[in-house]
Amino acid sequence: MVNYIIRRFISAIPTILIVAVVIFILIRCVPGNPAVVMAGESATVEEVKELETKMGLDQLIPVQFAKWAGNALRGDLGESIYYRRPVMKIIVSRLEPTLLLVGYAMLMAVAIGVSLGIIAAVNRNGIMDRLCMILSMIGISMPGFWLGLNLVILFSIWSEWFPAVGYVTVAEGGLATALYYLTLPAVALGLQRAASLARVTRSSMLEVLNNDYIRTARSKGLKESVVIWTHALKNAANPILTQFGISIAHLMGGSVVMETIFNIPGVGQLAFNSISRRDYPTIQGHILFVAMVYVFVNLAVDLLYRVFDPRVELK
Amino acid sequence: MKKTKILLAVLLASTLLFSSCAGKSIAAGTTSGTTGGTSAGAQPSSEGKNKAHFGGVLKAILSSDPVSMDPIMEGTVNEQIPAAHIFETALAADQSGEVFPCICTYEVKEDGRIIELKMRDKIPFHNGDICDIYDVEASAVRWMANISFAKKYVADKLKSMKVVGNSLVFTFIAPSPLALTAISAWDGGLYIMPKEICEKHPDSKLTPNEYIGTGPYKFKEHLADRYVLLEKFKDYIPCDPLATGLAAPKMGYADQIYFYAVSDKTARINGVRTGEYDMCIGVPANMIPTLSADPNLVVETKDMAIMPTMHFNCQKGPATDINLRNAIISCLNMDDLMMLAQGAKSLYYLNPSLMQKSSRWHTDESLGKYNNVDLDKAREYLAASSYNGEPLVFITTKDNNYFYKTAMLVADMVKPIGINMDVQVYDNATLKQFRTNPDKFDIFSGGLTGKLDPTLIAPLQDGWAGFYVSKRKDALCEILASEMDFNKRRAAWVDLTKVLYEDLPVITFGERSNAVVYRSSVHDLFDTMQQYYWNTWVD
Repeated sequence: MVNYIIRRFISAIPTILIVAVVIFILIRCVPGNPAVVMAGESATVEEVKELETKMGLDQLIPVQFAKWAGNALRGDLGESIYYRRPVMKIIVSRLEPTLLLVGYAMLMAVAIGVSLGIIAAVNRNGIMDRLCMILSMIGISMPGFWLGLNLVILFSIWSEWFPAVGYVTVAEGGLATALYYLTLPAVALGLQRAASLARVTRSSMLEVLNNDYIRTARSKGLKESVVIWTHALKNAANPILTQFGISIAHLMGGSVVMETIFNIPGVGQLAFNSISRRDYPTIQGHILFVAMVYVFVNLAVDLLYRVFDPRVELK
Repeated sequence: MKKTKILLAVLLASTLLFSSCAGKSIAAGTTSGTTGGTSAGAQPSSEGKNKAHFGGVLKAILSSDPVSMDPIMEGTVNEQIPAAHIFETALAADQSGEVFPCICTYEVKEDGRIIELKMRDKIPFHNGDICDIYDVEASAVRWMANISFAKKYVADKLKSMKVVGNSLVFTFIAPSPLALTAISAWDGGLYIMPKEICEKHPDSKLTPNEYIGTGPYKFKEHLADRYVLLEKFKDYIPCDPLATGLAAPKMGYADQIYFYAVSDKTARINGVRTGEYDMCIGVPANMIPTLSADPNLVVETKDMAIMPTMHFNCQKGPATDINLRNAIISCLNMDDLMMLAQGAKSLYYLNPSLMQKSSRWHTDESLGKYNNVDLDKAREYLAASSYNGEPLVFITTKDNNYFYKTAMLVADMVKPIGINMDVQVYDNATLKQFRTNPDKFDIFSGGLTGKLDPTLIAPLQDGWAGFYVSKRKDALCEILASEMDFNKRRAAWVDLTKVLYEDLPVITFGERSNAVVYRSSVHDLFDTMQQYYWNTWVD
């Protein structure tokens, strides 16, 4: 197992390197650079060029890349052009709300999605099945930003149950306060993922429920709940796990929009602002961070396959 | 099976209940915690309704997180707003541009060749030290080294600058009419800070523990991407000129001011509606009726002096032809353009000038070209031009929605006479870069902000985007930069406006106002194009 994990981490290095090279080149292909943004509205062409020289943006791209890659290999992602602070520190300082938001949304997605999927599968072709699938179709069809704005109108402006914007850190107000502030964005993010999880759970469960060992379990007189939760769900878990991994990736992407709509100071909002400011080091740092999260989540999902299905071999 | 369903239902319900219950108990705690007892949305008390009083917490908004609060090294409005509460300029200007004392009083001698700044008595810094004339001198050195218009209109004309007694004396080679304007400017003015800090950072930014000014608020905390917190400076001594706006006495009513960084406009408005923030600038016209109907909110229109414009490429391509530019302006209905940009009549003025209506520099001169739609004349101009029907590349952005809207309507308005426009939409950073490259555009969208003096208008600077050069313009700018008599300077500006309408490097559509929404517990919001909160008070 340990060897497998080490091998997976080593094999992730080329992935990360490719991501680093591609993002480095891509963001420099996009017109508009940090000097133009920072020089201000009244700056003349000469003043912008002076600033470009000062920031080293007039150097050849391979030279800029060599400098950046050399530092990145030593764990130094550079300094933010906008904040004038190390990128690593900036990302770490914004991790808390993003991780909590993604975790909270995932929790909701799993609780709602898996439950709906099971209910639908157990009541195949019945009213509950159709209702659950209609709900999941609605969930998939609703854009997250639209849902988020409507949740604000319903639960912040009309009923005043939840705050419309902002975030209070765990250190300031405790976990409950932090989650309270994240509830609406987590619902907006989580409902979409719940919908796709429900569909995958349903189809996976339907496949398992037709198997002989389920019939055997039932014929042995086991309670239906034991059959569903212990025998069927465990065997149907691997496709759900795959969807879980994909959902984390979607949630990381979706957090950029939600953090902007709800003004949550997380890494998603940082990425959004950094792109409009053309803060190259911060954008690169953020993309690398997200790439590493994907690698880690994929590894975790692969390891969990074995937990749910001992026949899976880790090669 | 039934139990499974019940279990699932309980699970779902408990998830929602947990969030909701946690929220309610916490909401009660945070309201008092973050507002210091100010009840968001509370109705003004009968006693306090019309009488300004001290205390409470004000929750203002910035459109992005300020990088630092160094008033000299930072140039955007998001840094300038909190910085202007911490630091003060040596002199201050009112809305019309007239200069008044602030930290210093002043005297102009020898027809503008000498300006003497005299220190007011016992003005304390936030660290308890008393500000003296050597702090002013050190601040002036740092200011002239880092602010481009201070270099151009003060440093480059300076013969000497020395301390004489309690005064700092600027002696110029030739009269410098813009020196006082530069010193008193809100953005990039001569902000005063302790000498040792100026000498430590001759060309670098201050760090947070060095935000030590003399202003009505002192720096308390900056949580990146969340808020900047300022606290009332209890030893602040306001000067009391009979002035208005930024030059008026600074009272510092609120005990604390939070500046929250909120980039999304909808989030800002929602935050004001729910009491997370106290005010928001830039309410879209279609939301005004809804917000006005809320008894906890007040919606007002403020003149923020922003002029939507279109700038021509005067260096390369078909737009260098003055006849084509004249043909275009002859097609433009400014009322329709401004209506589309703003969405309501109450949110704009028609203004042919590049100076805002509230300025003493404002003029209605436009050689009869502004808002004078005449398609026959436009066709005559077009026939006289070298334009051969190729699409004119009009670059714009949706980051400022009024840029995009006006560009689309301009393209539509010139179509009947046979001018084709290729409207290309980019993000703001790309637009800013492309407009500095004459190969990338024929026309670009712009938004000029109000200035204290016409010499500060960007398109008049050689080398600015658009690349407008003109000897007549330069000659009139020279008069503006050297003549001390205001009437003569104003006459030069009116002449320059005529030149601008003859050459048409830029077309201004009008002047935008902004709808501002704020909680009814907030009073006496700023009434200038700059945003300041030291004279705003809360119930």
